[in-house]
Amino acid sequence: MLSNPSVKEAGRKVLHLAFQDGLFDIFEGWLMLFGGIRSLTDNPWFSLVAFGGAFLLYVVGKLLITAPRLGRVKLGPVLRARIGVVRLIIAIAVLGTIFFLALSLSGQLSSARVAGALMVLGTTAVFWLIAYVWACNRLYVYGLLIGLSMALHETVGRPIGIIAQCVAGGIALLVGLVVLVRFLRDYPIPVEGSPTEEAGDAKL
Amino acid sequence: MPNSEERGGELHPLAEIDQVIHAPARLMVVTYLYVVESADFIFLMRLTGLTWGNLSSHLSKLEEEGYIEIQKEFVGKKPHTMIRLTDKGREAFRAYKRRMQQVLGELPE
Repeated sequence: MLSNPSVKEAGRKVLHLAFQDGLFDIFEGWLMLFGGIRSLTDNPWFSLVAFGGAFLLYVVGKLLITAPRLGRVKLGPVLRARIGVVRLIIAIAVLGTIFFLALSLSGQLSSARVAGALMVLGTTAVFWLIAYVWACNRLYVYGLLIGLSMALHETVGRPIGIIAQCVAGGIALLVGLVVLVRFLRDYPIPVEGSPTEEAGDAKL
Repeated sequence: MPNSEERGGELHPLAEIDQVIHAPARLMVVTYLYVVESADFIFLMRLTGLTWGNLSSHLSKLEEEGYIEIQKEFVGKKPHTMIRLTDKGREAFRAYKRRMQQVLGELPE
């Protein structure tokens, strides 16, 4: 059944399509999971391989899996501005994290727990803002999971913090895989002149 | 029955609604194209849920009216059809929105 969207809903739907493939969930889950495992090793290559692998998987997935199934779009100025807001939020969050880490390491902050609390709140807030701008409800959950796992890490420490981070990462990874499987099923690569008809389509 | 001139030249706003945009499927297509700079055929198909043939036919109608521009290009060896609203199409959509708001505003409670 067709439903005509308002311009605002149309914009949200366009942006939301980006999350239909589950690749972002897999990317986030991978980062959280390997972020937790990384705490157990001092091998610098581990981080590189983990992050690099996640990023490569995401980019290759978008090119080979998503683009042939969802097609291509160039966003209009309003939607580009929304993505600009997301990038600004991420940039501020990264700068804020570096700032508070520097303060903490230099002893300027009276308590490491304060720095930790600020990081937890900041990370969760960033995810929630991105979830709102990008109209993706799953990001609210991931923000909460990441925040909780970081809070556990800060308060209780190892090994519970590491387990919490791995569990959070595992959940996001699993959700991503389920979403990806559904995506592959619901969005086969279209073939020109495909005979499948939507109900009521002929009347339009 | 008196014609529009005998009634003082006023046409009911409903009569002036753009019938090309008013069709549900084409309204959907134009609404989605309004929020993007351009989109390819597959993207539009996914957003609207229309079949290949149906979307193709509606796009032809919109192109005939000059509301959209269809550019066929190659990315590597694969053909891509990019579709965008023309300035005329954007203005037609805005005019359609205003007309519909006027019509709906005048409907009895």
